[in-house]
Amino acid sequence: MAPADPRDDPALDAALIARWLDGDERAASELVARHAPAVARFVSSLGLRVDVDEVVQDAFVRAFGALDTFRADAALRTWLFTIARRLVLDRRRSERRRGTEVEVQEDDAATPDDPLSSLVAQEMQDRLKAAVERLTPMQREVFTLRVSEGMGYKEIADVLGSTEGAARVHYHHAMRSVKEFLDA
Amino acid sequence: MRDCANGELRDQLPDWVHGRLDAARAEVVAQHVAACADCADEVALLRDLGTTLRAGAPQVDVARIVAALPKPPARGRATLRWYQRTQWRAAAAVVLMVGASSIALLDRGAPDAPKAAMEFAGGVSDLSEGDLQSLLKDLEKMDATPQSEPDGAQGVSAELGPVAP
Ligand SMILES: [Zn+2]
Repeated sequence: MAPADPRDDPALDAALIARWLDGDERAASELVARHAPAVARFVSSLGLRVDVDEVVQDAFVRAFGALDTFRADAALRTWLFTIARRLVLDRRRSERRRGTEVEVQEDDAATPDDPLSSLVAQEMQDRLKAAVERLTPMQREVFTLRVSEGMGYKEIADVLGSTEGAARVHYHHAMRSVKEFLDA
Repeated sequence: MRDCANGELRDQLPDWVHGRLDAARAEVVAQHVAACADCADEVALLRDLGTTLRAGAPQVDVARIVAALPKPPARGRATLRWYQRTQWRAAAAVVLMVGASSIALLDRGAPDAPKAAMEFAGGVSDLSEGDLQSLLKDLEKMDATPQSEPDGAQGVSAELGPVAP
């Protein structure tokens, strides 16, 4: 039986947000610790050479600046992803204008933050990474959100400003493509 | 690697891997995966992919992000802090008005200076209405914090296109 993901607890997020709005600044540390690693993973999965730290920090600053307007029934993490994605698109757009856009390089992969990573042999990891990198940008985004973050199609659609149906189609095309690459 | 013919169940494998199904549905998926080689393979692939994707992400500096955050909008408790600062400033002002002996008192008892000053000055109530008003105005200026832009990136609707030509 797969365990429930403790990071994904909207009630805890709501309680922490209420505490922060009430002036408890320690609640901010808990919220950032709960969600920043996932936001960083998502930003780096977009495959562009952006300063991930900077985008993640910017996303939190903007989110906290508007936290008093945040609807308690929405998922904080989904909202953070949406903001982070917009920031990346913004940066990408301005890089395009300057003609300085560069694709993220293989060597840019940072130090692993997951002790489980040692369980997967390096060679297999390289093949899996290569399989994901071959996906179209939209497939890669959907696939990362679903496989790495465990998001449902509705949340993915919210982040991407798309529909559940489109997210489902992108996910299954991506999975097919990954399997074909690994079988080849 | 083959796709299981049960499309609906296959669609839920990532939710199952991440523990996002209710207990009844999770049990159905668990039993199916135990009996279906295709789904067992896909679950193993999902786990390996999840591990790989998460391992490639950069570390984040939580403290640095927290330090950059705006202050809470200040309701309840923030009002109390504002009141406490008002008391302290009012007391300090009285001490300054009373004279150099008060300064010496502040110097001697550095950590407890506000408390000592309060005792010496006899409290905020000794201030005239005019003194209080000018202190409050002064304080309001200090407390004025810029409102953060809720979401400056709004309006960007472009989708991510192909990464490289
Ligand atoms: Zn099956």
